[in-house]
Amino acid sequence: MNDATHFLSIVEIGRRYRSGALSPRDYVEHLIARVKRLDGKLNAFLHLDERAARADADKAGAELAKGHDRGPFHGIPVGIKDIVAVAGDVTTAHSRVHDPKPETQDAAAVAALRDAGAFPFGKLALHEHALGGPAFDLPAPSARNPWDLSRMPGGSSSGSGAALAAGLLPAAIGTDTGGSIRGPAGFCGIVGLKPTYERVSRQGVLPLAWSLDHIGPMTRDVRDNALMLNAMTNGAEDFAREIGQPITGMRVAYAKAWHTRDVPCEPAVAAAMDAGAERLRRLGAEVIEIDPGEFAAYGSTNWTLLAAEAFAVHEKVLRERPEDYGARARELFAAGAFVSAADYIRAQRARATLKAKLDAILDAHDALLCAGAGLQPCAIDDPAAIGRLLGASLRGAFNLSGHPAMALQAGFDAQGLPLHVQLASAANAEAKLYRFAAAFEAADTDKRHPAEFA
Amino acid sequence: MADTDTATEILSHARMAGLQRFAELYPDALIRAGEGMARHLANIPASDDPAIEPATRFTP
Repeated sequence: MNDATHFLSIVEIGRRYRSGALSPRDYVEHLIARVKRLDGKLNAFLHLDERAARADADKAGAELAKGHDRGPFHGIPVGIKDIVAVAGDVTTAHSRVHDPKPETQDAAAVAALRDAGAFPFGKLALHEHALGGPAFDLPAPSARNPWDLSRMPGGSSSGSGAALAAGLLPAAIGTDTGGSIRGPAGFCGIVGLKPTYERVSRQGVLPLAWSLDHIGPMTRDVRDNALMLNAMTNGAEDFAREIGQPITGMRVAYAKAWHTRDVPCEPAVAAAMDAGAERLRRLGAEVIEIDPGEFAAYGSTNWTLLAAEAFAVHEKVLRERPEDYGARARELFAAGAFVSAADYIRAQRARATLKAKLDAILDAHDALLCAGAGLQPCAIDDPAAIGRLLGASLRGAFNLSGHPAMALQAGFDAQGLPLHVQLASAANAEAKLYRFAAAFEAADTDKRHPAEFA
Repeated sequence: MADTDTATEILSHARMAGLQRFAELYPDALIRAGEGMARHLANIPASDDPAIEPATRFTP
């Protein structure tokens, strides 16, 4: 098999399945071999049920051979962040805390993917209970960044981002409560979409914070991402329908002040953002600098709601056996003990005001461009640097508002790490967001892969 | 790091929230969590608009 098979797009894999050039079983065997050979240094997988993957691949191959074609995701293996239920598998949340009994049914998003012909391919690493961050006191090691194994890959969907960039699978489910899809997507150089709130069902997914949790697709390119969202939502809408259409004359709001004024920002990130804005201009869009107000208001309101809701989820264990958490998650979850009911209500009222500000911007523009974070991924074993990195995130605003938002690669820094931009759109306008993202992606000429995983 | 009075207040609050065992085992983590949360609470913008309802179930 060609060595580059593992970096093929889902569209191309499907083409080869249907031409007979590749079978789902051969593809899965190729990926299993790569996981066995390479994941020991990446730690993206917590568990891979090889037998189930082979059986599912054979079933898909047989269906396709009979002409029973379920569409673009038929026969596609999908990695599952390990807070998402897969029937028969244990959900660990990368933690000692959760009751490790096999799930009796799939999460709704997994069931939808199965209906589209896809099948689970491994339970993937995450930050403990989708919050903790890289840690060395958990039952399984934390995922690393395939572009530099000494660095963190972003999180909390860390295994999803790392496995995709390393060519260990073609698609993965992520979840995002304050940036947990977009962070690892951006830091690993892949595509991650946090859809509109409640666009993808949260049924069967362990909660972090109910009013902020989003489930979404993570892939290596934009079209694959749109097709995966189609599958995750049972084909309710064709989110790829605007891909390929020009963005000439469309209006993009550029929230430059968020990274230049409100968070610590590396020169490489600032340069990538301006280059991204210029790329959109060259594609014919009108890019207008706007100021949505200080990011701290968005970030702190999001964190207050998240901390309070997460404390409600974890309160019993925090009281009775706090030692079962890793140190980082334990401290973060404890923050919710200091949010009063009045604080929570005050944050919900602020949320309405802040959402209205973003609504007004997105009513007047077709998309919003901003940085995902002011800093690039730091060493995985430097807690202080990880704290600074979390403080430089600009993603929580869109969990607060519920608007769809996406991380997209935007070149590389001097260390060879991928840079990224964040694009957001009005609620339920994912198709338009994919139109921008596909145009942006098509104008990128640097398509390299991590050297250790090529 | 918090001064003694602030630290005492934070730990007292945590014990009232039922985190006695946590406070006994990991007092420094609780103090950092309490201090950090206070900084975030100070950043939440105030709103006096009576028309804004504190939604307990959010719809975008």
